[in-house]
Amino acid sequence: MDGKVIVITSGKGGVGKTTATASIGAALAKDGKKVVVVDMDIGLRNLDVVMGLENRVVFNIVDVVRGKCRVSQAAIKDRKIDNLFLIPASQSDNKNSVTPEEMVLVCKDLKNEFDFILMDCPAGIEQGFENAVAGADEAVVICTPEVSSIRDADRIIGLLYAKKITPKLIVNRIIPAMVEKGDMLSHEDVVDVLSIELIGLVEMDDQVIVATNTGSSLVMNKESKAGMAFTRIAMRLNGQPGLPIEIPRTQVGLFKKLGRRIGISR
Amino acid sequence: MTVKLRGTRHGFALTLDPTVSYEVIEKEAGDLFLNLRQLAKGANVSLDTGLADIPPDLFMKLGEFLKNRFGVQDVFNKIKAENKPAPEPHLDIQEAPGGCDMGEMKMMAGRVRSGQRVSAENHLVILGDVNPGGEVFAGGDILVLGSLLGTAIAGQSDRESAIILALDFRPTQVQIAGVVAAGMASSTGKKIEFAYVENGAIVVDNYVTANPFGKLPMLEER
Repeated sequence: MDGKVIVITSGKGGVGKTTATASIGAALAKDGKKVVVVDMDIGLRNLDVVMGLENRVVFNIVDVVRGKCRVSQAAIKDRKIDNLFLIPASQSDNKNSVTPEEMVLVCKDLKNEFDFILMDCPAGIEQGFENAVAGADEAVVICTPEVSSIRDADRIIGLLYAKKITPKLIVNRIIPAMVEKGDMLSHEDVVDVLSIELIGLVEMDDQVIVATNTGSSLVMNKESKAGMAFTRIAMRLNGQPGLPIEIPRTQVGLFKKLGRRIGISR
Repeated sequence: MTVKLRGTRHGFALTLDPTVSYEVIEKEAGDLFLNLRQLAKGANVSLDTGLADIPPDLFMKLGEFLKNRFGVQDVFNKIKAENKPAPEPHLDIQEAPGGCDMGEMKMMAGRVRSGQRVSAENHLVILGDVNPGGEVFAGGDILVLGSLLGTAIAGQSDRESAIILALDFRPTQVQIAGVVAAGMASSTGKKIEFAYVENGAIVVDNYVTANPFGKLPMLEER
């Protein structure tokens, strides 16, 4: 097997990297691919909690790097999706416990066993970021429509280009009603500043909090708009790059729809 | 004057008369480099005595003096160096790579992202945008043919005649020579504006209506 390593990063914390990693990983696995999600936030482990697997953690990524266990021992199988695995972070070590060179070797091993390896990158641009990016073939940058998040994403994009990785963009937590009133930056504004390829727009969704708290997968819920958006992002990453991007909008009546059609209304 | 200094593509050239005593050479070279201020830092200096071989103790002593006193990067013999390929221009790690160096002017295409810094010894032209958090720095003018949303520092260290121009002028901060304009009222953008120094303060004006260089009677070197 010759897998693909995708790092999911943002620079700023709290924009939805972990949720996106879990959701995209689940969607790819549902599509029949063998997927592993790796929590690279060493010292602040939480991907296992989001996926509801915290009580099954025995080994972690630091153990894999140190050779204390095999990849197959550290990879925890998801409760519902058969092809989805998690390699958790260590909670007792810190970001300096592994080096980028060691991560390149681990990524090579993982590529032999999985189709997709998703790296959940920690916030920041220090050692943790370096470790997560070291073995990556591709990168997905998550950004919310806020100036602080855009500034950090811009910095990350510059660093990724310096590492010869061309990142793709997800704009997360869009609130369509606020965008239409002009109170929130639109995705066009974000793309204007960052000028990289957009692969998905994700709406603000209360279901994310429900899914995180219950440790269930967002993409299993057909009602969740965010879940559906992540499913489509996964399809774009999985060989359907041409899938049109749906722009989140408020529910509207006939006249506004007509206005949109003829281009006089957002 | 027994010592002459001029700027070159790769740094500075120091022309001197090797028959004069070392003390005189050191004093005159010191005065010249003092005027350069921080421009001398990290620069390459070629020594030209008109001879193929500079007396070794003069070369050593003057080299040490320039390096220690002004932070000059390297001192070499001009005549020997001319027979060798030109040294690679020195680039900082934070520095964005590439760019077309048109003699005195640096021209770069693309986007200056947050955390990146582009600098030029003289004029700097950016074909593209400068994002918030990005920084452009020049000894002369800065022209941004795109949106300027980051920080622009022109006319370093004391060229008050320098201007900063952008097709979409919405900078975080601009500095010209020693004058800083922080917390400017944000412009609406989408019109060509430029900043210049007038009576010790930075003024921003519409480039098309003000046409600052239209009043010059004839062409002059900038």
